[in-house]
Amino acid sequence: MKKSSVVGLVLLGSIFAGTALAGVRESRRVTVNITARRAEGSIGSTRNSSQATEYIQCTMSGDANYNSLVCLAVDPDGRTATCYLTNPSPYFLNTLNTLQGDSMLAFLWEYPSNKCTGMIVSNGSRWEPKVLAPASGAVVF
Amino acid sequence: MKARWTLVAALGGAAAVYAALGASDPVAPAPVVSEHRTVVVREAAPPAAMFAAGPGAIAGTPTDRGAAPATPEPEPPTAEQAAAADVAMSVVDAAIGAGRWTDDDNVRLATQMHQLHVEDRDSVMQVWATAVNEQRLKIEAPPAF
Repeated sequence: MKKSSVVGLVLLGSIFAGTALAGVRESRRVTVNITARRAEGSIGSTRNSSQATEYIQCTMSGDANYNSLVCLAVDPDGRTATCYLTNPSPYFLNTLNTLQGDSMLAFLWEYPSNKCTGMIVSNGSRWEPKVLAPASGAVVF
Repeated sequence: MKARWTLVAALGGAAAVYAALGASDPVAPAPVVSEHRTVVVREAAPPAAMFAAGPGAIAGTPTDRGAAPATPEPEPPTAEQAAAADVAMSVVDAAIGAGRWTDDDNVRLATQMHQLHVEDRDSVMQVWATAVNEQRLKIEAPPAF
């Protein structure tokens, strides 16, 4: 058997071995669907993206009298989506409290008020974790 | 005499049938059941009163799940709140005119937002969010207000 054939078989074997050992891994970049009024993306995949404009986040702010929730997503093509709530209900606060650094986050809104109508937070092994090294071209905060 | 034997035979047959049924399908003695129930009584508002108050009077309906529980009617905005609302709206309008939302806009709006009447806050955020979702406002700095 030629040496190149042996090398090829070894490489092929290592590929199959790697596939067999891996669990479900999902990379979900930010998608913005204005028509469906839904935006989503996994935080890890988005952070690791080479697109410096892409991100997804939800922000809570407040004082003694009021608090507000603003979610914002920008997809790789620069499409932007947002929704907001002033004094959000416990339904939203409880969901937001489960958000972690490598969660998948989705939010929905209604038209024409653009108020948030739903929020999905998913935590699990399938979602791509953030890597420590910044992606090339990405802005480091 | 014959009638007596017929009666004895009938009784014997009935006993045999009872024994056979009892053997194949035993009936367990009924256990003593002690059950405690907590009964919650909810007072329903008279339908006429609910309709008079309007649909917003029914808290917890799917349409208002996104908002906080119903609170008493807020006071009307004060003169200071009305002035702050004008400034806040002018900040948002100027940003929409420029087509971008910057850190300076965040600072200017955050200063006003905490002084606004609750209804004005909603109005300002709605104008801002509508511009973003219609792609008329490019976000250069994430909202911080």
